[in-house]
Amino acid sequence: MLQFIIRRLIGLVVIVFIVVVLNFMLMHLAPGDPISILAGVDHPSQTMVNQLRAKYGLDQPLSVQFKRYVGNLLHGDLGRSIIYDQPVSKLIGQRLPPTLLLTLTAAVVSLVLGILLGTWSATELGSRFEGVISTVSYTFYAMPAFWLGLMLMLVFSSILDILPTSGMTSSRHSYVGLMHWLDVAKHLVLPVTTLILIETPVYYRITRTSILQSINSNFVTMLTASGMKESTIFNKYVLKNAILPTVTMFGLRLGYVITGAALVEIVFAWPGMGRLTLDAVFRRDYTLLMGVYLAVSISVGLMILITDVVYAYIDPRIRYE
Amino acid sequence: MHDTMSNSRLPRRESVSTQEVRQSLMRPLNERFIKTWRIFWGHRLGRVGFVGLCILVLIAVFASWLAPYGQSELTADALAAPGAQHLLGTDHLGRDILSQLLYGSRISLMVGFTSAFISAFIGVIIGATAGYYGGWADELLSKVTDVALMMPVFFLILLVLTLFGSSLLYVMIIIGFTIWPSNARLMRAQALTLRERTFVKASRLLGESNLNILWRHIIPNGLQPVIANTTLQMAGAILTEASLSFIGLGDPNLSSWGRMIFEGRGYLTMGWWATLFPGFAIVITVLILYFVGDGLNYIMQPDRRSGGLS
Repeated sequence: MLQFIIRRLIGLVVIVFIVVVLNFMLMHLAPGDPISILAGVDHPSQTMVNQLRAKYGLDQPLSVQFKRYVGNLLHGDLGRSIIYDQPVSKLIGQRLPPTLLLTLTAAVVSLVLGILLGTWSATELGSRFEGVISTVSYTFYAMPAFWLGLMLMLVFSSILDILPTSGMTSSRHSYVGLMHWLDVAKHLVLPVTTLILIETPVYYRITRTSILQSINSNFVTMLTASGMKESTIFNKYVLKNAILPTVTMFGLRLGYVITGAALVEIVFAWPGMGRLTLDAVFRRDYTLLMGVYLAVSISVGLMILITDVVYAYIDPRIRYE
Repeated sequence: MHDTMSNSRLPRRESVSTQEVRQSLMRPLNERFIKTWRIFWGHRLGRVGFVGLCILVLIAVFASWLAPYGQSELTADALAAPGAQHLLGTDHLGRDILSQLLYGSRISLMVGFTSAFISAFIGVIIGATAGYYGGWADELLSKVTDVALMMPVFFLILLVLTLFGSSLLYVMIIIGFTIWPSNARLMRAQALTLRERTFVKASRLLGESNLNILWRHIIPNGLQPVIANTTLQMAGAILTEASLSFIGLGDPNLSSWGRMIFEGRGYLTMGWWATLFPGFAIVITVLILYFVGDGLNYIMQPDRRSGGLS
């Protein structure tokens, strides 16, 4: 098991390294020179140019530049944001927790909800209703997350006025303690619901399909014939086998959930990475954008790692691959 | 003509022309296609999807005839609610929403097709090479594919488009270049199976070059799952393009559906129709592609009793 974790960790390091290389390459391949990209303005002041040159070694051969770049990164220096005039690492540190709150809540709830619905649908539902639910779930999966967010906001915040429009906390009050968390929760409802509506159909469908396949497989037929109680068969054998593809899918979808969360954050002005990204894109703050990309890659890589470990824990066969 | 040398106990055979030989070889191919088509058509969702796709393509082609107003025609009624004059209302500049939707279908379908095609091209070549050659090529390419599969590509796309500019061409290319891993995986699995088949081994023995085998045997026979995956990727590409436009990174000169939502967001409460209907268009298009993909997946399942949805 430990060997498995170590191997996955190495994989994570590889991914992060590739992201770093990509950032570096893009910085140099893009039109315009790296100085204007790092400075963010077309004619930076001479002091800024000198500073950048010293920090990144920009008039040295590429290999030296790359070493300097990686060296800076390892010291936690992701550069300085042009718009906010603060270190990128500090900005990301501020904005990452709200994003993780939104993303992980949505991801976990969708997974659980999808599994429950899929199981129920596979075992209880008649084929007529199943078609309806299937179409409904397909429809939600087909929606752009940001559009669904806008529509939900329109209905629940503007028209019905029962949920706040935007932000993470009420700007008019400053709560502490429990009230603060309740306030956050209230603001969390719409963004999280948007993401859940889009993600759940995936898990619902996979769970349903794999449970149906498990139920129809030979060993289950044999167990039924041998007289085992149906509930035992289901809980001990069918479920455990059926969960595996769902968990795999969960690992694969994590990248998408973060992306979807970024867009939903923009819609609801949630103070997370999404807003940061949007500003960086608009104002061409490349340093910030590269930092965000790196942070997101690391986050997703870590989450995939954890998912893989959980998967290996559930399915011992994986550990020996 | 009765041959005086032939043995009269053997059945007499008429001479067969080359034409008839060719036709008899083609018939199995046509029959197989028709049989596959019948199975596809029996699948309810696939049927709906296919019809929908045809309608979409027709709309895209005949948009200029179907649209009541010009593509960027600014009428005098800005932000008019849906009504007789403008069936779906107008946006803040007075452009008819319905007409924009119809013209926008061209952009969406083009983005979908092109990105999916690029992705299929890259993915099939990488996957087939990895699966067929095996060895270190397989190890290397598989690692590359796995890494590319796990990286969150949306932010990479953002970075690239911000650095290089956001024309539609760049959007299509970068999307295509980031979604190929799933095709590579599918193709690799197919190549692994196919290379053990007798006809491939026979080709090798006959001395056909590996490249030839790849190109003429492995890839055409392994394309089926890739094709089904491609419809899903088209749907994904359309959603991605909409997301990029929503951030402002879509092509600013073209009113794609995503761009319409982006522009309509500023006056959401005053003119909800400018945001609602483009979203509907996206959802319907994506759904149609999902249905077609579902139908294509259904054709490929060896056991159709369990697991299928329709």
